[in-house]
Amino acid sequence: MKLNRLPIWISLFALVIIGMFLSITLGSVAINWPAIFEGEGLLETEQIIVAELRLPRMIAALIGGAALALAGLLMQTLFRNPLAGPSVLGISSGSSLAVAFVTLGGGALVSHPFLLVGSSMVGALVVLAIIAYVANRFYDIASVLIVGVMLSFFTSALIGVLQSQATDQDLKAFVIWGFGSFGGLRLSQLPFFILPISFIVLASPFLSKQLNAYLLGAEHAQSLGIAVSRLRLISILMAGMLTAIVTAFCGPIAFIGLAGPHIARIVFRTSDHRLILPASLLVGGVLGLYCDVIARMPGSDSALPLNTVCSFIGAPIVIFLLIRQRKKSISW
Amino acid sequence: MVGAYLSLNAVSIEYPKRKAVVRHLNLSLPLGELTVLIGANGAGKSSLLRVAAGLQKPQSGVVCWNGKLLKEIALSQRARQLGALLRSQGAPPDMTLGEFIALGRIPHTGVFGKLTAADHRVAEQAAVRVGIANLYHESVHHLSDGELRKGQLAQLLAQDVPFLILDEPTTHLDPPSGHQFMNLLKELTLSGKGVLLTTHDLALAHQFADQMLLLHQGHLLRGSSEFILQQSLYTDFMGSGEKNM
Repeated sequence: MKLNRLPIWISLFALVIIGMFLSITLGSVAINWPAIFEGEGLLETEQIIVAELRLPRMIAALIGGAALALAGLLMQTLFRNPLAGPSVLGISSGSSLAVAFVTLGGGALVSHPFLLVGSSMVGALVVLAIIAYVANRFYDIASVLIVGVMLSFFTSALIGVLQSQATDQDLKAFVIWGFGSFGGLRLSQLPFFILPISFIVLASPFLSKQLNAYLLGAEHAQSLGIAVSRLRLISILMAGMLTAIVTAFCGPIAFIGLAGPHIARIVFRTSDHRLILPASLLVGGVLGLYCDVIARMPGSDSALPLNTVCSFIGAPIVIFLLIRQRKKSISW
Repeated sequence: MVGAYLSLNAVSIEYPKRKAVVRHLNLSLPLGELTVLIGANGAGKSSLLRVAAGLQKPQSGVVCWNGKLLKEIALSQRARQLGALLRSQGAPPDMTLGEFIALGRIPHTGVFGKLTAADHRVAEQAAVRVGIANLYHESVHHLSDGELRKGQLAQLLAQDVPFLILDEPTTHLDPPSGHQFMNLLKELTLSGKGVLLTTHDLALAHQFADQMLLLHQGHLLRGSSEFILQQSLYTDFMGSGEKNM
């Protein structure tokens, strides 16, 4: 039976719009929205909160979530492994190690706003360069995956050493960064976040056809006219850059990149990248927006770690969809 | 495409720490013929097919398509001339059989891989021809191994190439399906396409082959099916319990 996918697209777009609305309107400070319609406008502090804090946060959640889901999809297709995600190549770990050096090595330096972002980006790019080098040299893609996982272990071990020597205050700063947050992005930083991600996202449809062929295996893809080595390198660079940018600005956020493509595949019941690629972007954006709203705990003074909320929400959704699908006897 | 052919010239295939699989092989495979390659496990049949399909570089020698060096033909062009059904395909992706068959149209699509109505028609016709049209909207994960094999052949048919290379295509098929499968390949050669395949089913090979090849200890023997089967009696290939006739 043919599946009518139009209602799914409409629902996803509706979820994005509602999520954006919630992200702007909800927070620890109540904004007097009716004042806009009554012609009075918002108070200056309210304007600052909306423009300087909530708007960048909303954009970061939407675009960051979408970027992570796209990175996850590329990794899952490339490694033909449903458990692959943006963190699998060790890129997040590279970021974490660089940030650990900065926060745990010299706490005073953290006061500079671009230092965390810069160090995180450098760490991610160093690992990405190693992975790209390995991917270019080894024909066997599983070897690249193993090198990525080993790099993760290695960097985690180094972080462990740094943590054992750190002061309580520095340790706390590092742990908080590790929680992940879409709230750290400032209005002035938005172009550095949006532009490179948009460029990669806009380039990604050019890979749809090649990734579809790659679903049949590297050798078969080649027999269908695909330059496999080039596809691997481009996909790794794209996924790596997306992960590096998001991790640099928002910290290591693991779950969206893993769950986003799964949810898209289950809901659309296909692996066709011409569908799954835009669908993963939307699902990632939805996950980013809603997880961030919940993590903020609107109306309360405290907040939850974003990574915790992502796992709390994402894991049951994936399990629920999977069980429902199995009951309907529809494979994915 | 009249007169087109696939040729291997002085091709040698070797693996480290192993005897050469193939030494200085010369072979010409014209269109309109079904060529069956037989040989014992590990004789190098699959390697030879991969080299012929341009998916593996030989240690020496060249492969030519229609007189041109295969390696100098762009991958996208090559995929419109040579199609391969190899054993290295992993688990099938999550999609319907129709979408799976339509992947064969990839070499004929534009940069975004958008399928036209004509592409869909070709995919549907391929499914009808292989006898799996009733499964067109089923998930490939619901198919048996044999049905999936037929789906892979339909995908290859949808690729619409003049020369088809298949590695043990009748594996997983029941005897009537295997017969039907070979019959279809024979029909393709009668319509002007070239086919090179490997099999361990000597009865099918004998029935359908126009030309047979026996790969044994790095050397290739060529001839009619009767001649090759006779020769194979003297090799360990037939003496190792793989005699199907």
